[in-house]
Amino acid sequence: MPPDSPDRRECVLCGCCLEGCPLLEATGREELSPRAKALLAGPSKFDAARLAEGDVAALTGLCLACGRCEKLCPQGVQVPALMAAMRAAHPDFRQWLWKQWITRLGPYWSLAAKGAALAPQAFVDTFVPAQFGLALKGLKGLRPGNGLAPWLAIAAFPVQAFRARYGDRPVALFDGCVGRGPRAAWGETARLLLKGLGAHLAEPRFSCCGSTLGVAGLPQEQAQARAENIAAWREAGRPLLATYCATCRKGLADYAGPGADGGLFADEAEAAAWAASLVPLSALLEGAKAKAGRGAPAIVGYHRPCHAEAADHDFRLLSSLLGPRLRTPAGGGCCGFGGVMQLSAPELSARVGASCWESLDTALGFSAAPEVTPAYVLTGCSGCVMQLLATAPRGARVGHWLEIIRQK
Amino acid sequence: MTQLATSLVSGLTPAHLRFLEGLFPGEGLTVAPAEMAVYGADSSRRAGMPWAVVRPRTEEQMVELLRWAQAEGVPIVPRARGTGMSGGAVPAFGGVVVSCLLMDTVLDVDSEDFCAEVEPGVVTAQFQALVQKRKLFYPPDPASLKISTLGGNVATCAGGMRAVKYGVTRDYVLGVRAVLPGGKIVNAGGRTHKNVVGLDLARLFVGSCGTLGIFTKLTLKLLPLPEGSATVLAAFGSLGEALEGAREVFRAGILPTAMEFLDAKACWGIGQIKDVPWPASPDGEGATKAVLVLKVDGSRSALAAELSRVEGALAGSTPLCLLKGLGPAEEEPLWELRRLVSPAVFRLGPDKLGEDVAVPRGRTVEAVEGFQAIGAEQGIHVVCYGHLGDGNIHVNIVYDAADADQRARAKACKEAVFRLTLSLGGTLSGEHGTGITKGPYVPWQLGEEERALMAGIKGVFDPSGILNPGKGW
Repeated sequence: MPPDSPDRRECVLCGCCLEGCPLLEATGREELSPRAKALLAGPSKFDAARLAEGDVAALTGLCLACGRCEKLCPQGVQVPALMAAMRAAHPDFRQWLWKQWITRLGPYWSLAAKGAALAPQAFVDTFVPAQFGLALKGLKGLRPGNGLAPWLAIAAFPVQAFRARYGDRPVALFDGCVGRGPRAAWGETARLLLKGLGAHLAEPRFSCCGSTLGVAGLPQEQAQARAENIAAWREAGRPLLATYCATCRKGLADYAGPGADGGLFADEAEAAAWAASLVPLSALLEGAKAKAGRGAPAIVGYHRPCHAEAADHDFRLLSSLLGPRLRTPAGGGCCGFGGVMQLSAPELSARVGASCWESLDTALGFSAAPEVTPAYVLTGCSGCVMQLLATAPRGARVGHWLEIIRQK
Repeated sequence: MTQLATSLVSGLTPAHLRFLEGLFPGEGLTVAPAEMAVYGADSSRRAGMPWAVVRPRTEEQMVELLRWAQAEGVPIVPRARGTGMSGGAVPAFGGVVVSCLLMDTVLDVDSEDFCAEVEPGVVTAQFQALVQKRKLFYPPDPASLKISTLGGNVATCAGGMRAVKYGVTRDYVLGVRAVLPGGKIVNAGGRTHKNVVGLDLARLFVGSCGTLGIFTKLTLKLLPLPEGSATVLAAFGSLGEALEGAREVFRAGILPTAMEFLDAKACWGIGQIKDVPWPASPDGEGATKAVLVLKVDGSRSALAAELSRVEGALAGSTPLCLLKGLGPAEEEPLWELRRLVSPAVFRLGPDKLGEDVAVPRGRTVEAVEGFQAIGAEQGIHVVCYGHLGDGNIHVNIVYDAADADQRARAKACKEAVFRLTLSLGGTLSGEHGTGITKGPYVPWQLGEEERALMAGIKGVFDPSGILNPGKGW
């Protein structure tokens, strides 16, 4: 059997993954490391009778799904995928909670989007368990009107470069749950940017990217979301698929990635066409020129999402638009959102969040004089925005980079 | 292997657990098997289930724990990140695992004294990055440096690629503060770079695999950070030519920071993972049979000249290709190839025995050719690579553990490799330690007198035999 076939992807306990795990870094608890999870998920070296299934499921649930470990693994072990499989195989109350969140709180998102008070307190008391506290805090931060005030005007679009590269190929924007819901303003700005490029917009009706559903151990719901999105893309004539959320982009790329369901696409060529059509919105804007107006902060932080692609086009674009104003911690740092983690283990999630703010502070120095240079952080992922809002120090401003762009 | 002390208990009683709960409240104690499992395993892929896992944050907790453990006869297994290759951190005979990861503070970095004080749980690469900001240098660089800790490195006397010029972890430990069974605290060594008062107890702790005491503070020696470095990678048509090239480098009076080699099978494996700069066909005319990677460091102005001298020294061995890199950006791709060898070995088979024998430097050619012949004889892939400069050779015996016959031949290979190593005046382990995977072979190398002396020393530090039982010698 070739060493890179999925069946051979067995953890050899080398520990290379320990370098990247934000959960291990924040807690010093080895049982939370990817290696511990791979050990439990793989062929067990221990007498199975001694490991209660519930305990295993509970422990494996404590994964941020940030994917840093799989990038470091020489064996190609995908711990987040292993954990999702285990969550699917061992449904417990956490998964139940998550399912409630995704499937039953749908109306709640739109309530927020309409600018109503976040939700009637009675609704919160009745339906939102205490464990949702951290997630709710993030969601509250997403309230429309609570976003950053725009201060950056795009002075010139790279129209020629875009035309030379993509011609008349239509572009569809994948909004994701937040951009379609509480922060519809992201979608509006993104569409204006695409128009500025001279792109022809296709508007297929996309569903959720499915990424978080998979992480939560809901493979059927994930498969359905994937199938709907592929169908919509196909119907729209297979346009370019621009994304502005790093987790959505990774979620969509995973449709044609290693270990994906081969039956999603008509054939390999279609899978390859899907993969090739995915492009971060920021990559299309490379070469744009901008002018900072009134209200521009002196120091702008950038939080790199764990799910950002290797080239991190968001950072490249922001660097070129903002110049030395933009700063980011050298080592990056996971915010601790972690899909299920914000719900299943809010305390751990908050601890990783606190480490993340510490490393942002070393790059931005906001804690030295918060009244002079308050923390101001941009990122390019819905989950990161929610988590950073939920864990931010007092006075900090957090948002998606689209929020700083003036619409006129 | 050490005889286990008969006074050790065979499990924890409810009273024991109550004691541990009192000393390690909240997250400080773990007894759920699913959570403890990883604390029972390490990179040797051996495993045993701990009886309990504790996470001290203070030296006071360590003192109380070891006082109690000695009185009760409870085995104690110290642990950091568990990245050792020989099962040194595996509780093979049960016991309470002591995770040192919450003691991870860098207490002091002093650029006047050229030393630092650290707790055992600090990650080595993070420490190196920290001192580098102050233009200081902590040279030991085990392959695991990004994932292993200074405490673990000292407990195993971790080596690394820079050993040829800078030595190993042992050479950078000035002082050790440790808690002994019974709860006594010892301060061995200190902050001075020279010290000949009394026996060298600090060095005795280095490489003792957690069998003598548990570290709470380490005092490490630092050097001024060299201004820059440069790397040469060269491929050769025969192992002999590569080794002759290496000899010429030394004859030219050059002491490289690192001098690594890869044999033909290692080169082939890496070629399966990544595009390689050397002629990649496995056989025939012009095929690569060995690759050398060398690094030199020093002042930036001298490095270009140094590179030319290395190139000149290698010229006589007619390299098939030669690449040079000046500065980290150019060097990194060359070293990336070297680092890929460990995963590349799995392209030859699903399981491996990773040995790390060392021979006197002049016997390296004989050793490598002998190991390759042993593999050919047993019909098993034997891959050799590693630290040519200091005679420390990684011998990977690759096989399929699911096949009983291959398993037996792999074991025969390993034993033949050990015998050849010893006959050349070498040692069974240059840097991994003996732990449990090589423990049974220690009497092949060490005589009865030496082992009795070591057992006597162990008895002075740990009279009840509670610390990491069954490990070492």
